[in-house]
Amino acid sequence: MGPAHLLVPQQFQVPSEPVAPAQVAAELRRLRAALRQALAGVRQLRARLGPAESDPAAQILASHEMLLQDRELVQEIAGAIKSERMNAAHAVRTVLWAKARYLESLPSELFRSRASDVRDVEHRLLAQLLGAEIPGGGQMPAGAIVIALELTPSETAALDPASIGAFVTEHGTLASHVTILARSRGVPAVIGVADLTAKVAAGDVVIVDGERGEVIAAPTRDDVAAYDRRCQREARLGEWLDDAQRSPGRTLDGRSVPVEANIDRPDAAGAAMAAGAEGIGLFRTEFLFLGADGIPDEEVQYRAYRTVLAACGDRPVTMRTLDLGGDKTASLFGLPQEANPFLGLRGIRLSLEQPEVFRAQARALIRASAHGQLRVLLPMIASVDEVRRARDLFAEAAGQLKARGVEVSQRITLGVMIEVPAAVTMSDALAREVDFFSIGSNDLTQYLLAVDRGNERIAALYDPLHPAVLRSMRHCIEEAHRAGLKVGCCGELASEVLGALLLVGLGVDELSVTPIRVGWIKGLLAQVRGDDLEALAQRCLQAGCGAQVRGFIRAGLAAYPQIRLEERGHRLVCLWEPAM
Amino acid sequence: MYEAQVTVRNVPGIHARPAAQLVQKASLFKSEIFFATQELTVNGKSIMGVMMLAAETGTVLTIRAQGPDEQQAVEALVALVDARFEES
Repeated sequence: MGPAHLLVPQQFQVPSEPVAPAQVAAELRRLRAALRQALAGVRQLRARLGPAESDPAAQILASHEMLLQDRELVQEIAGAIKSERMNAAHAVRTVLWAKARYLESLPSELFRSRASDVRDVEHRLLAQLLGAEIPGGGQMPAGAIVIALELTPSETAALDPASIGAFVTEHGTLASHVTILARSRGVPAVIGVADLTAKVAAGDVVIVDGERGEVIAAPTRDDVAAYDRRCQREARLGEWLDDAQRSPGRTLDGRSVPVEANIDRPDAAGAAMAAGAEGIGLFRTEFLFLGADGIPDEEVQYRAYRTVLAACGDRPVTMRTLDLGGDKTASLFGLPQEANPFLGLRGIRLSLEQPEVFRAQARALIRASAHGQLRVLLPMIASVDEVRRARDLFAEAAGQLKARGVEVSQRITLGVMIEVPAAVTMSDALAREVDFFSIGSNDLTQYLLAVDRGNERIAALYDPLHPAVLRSMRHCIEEAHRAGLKVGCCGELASEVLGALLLVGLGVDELSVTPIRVGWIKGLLAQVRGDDLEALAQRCLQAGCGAQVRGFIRAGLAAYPQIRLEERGHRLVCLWEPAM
Repeated sequence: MYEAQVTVRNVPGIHARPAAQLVQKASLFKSEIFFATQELTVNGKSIMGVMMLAAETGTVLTIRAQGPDEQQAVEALVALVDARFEES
């Protein structure tokens, strides 16, 4: 809620007079200068915002940078100056408008939305060439509601969420970059409000409800009161989440369940820690092998692993060795395509078949382990032999390092993913060979129920709370605990409300979830008694089918009114609002 | 001249990030590179070009290269598309 601040759309008067032949060279120089300045402007904006690489703002601004450096595009604009003697601004407008119009004519909304990037770049260049105001600046009263016909991505990126309350535009769609940016910067926004600029005057008090997509111009006293209450609740929720993030994972009755994060890039580690993760439960190493340069050498890997460990201080970091398979692997390792990649040469099997590559990864991991609390996780283990061979290769790698004069101090903490059903059955034997287990609930469910999630015809049969899956998980947890080992779960199940609750009830010692869920899952656990979860899990283990499991869950969580359950098809969806 | 075809398999297709990755990768090679769909052929080193290609999931993309490292270029680009641009 705040005062309306109208943003007048930038109108450019582009002169269309051609230039004299003698001036063409000068116009080309002006174009190049404008390109340089526009590029500097985008870079400055990006530096000012400092978004993380994964932030949509960074990607959108990066695409503007790429456009400004696109040689073919620049040549096309320069060509218009040279062959038709257009002045630089006219050439920019002509060429870029045509491109934008083409993009806007595409059938897919996602591709159409890129037109806004082209127009944004066009605006920047025209602003430079015509000496107009550069988009991205401008002061606004605190808490202002920005009202505009439309916003360019740069203008949206430049809006400071700390000072503006919200923005509303007349044009725009859900897939547009403006919407993406609003979401990523946490600015409430409503897009596509007809006749907006006609109905709101500068200074009017306006209420913007981004959740419901409502804009209330000229609110009544009741409207204001209702929104005040909602804003207060939002603020309390924000504080609650902050608190949850900073606390250690624990149930209401004091059972400790650390909540860690799953990440797949080194630069996500810092953010995960900031989100309250008590460690990294799964660092996927595949990205190193899927980049531009093929199989990465030891040095590249070492640097990536060290970055993650350094970001996590003394919190544990579990790194999974290469878990690739299927078509990606085929082209990378020069292997033939497989008819059935799910049951094929992937995970640890691939590593053991490519000992050179595995030893390089091992050397990088061993070296990196000096920088933090490293645990190594082996994927797709089906037998003790595989664990022993992997350990041998690690020992060889350590030997290679010692021969190079590198200090190899510690013993590596080694664990296995429990995802192949055989590993469940053999968990007693496996528990004697390793230091911890990590349940890969996604693949375990697929292998156990013989369901390919990617197959639409039977995807509905995928049920991670199927009693078979629950019993399997319980079995490996029992065997692990009997041997004094801890068990974590890094599958999707851990990031879901019901999944997390059942896993804790089954006895899982730690959960690893997507970073944005860390606070929520910790907060959830803090409101539920571990004893209740254990009792619930016990009953579910007795169930004969998924429907019975769901029945037990409903009954078992009835004591928690803040946890609401809805049947959707064959799944139970859990809507949970913290009791604050 | 060296050429190969590959099907775009990631969802929703060659949007912002994959387009940037394709162009960045293509720009590493000395050869001239072109991407073609049924409708359009574009310069593979031009982000504007790849944006206009608007290749959705299921599009069959022809990757063509001409120059000293043409085979490497095509293979690397095919692998990138095939690997769904690291999106797994």
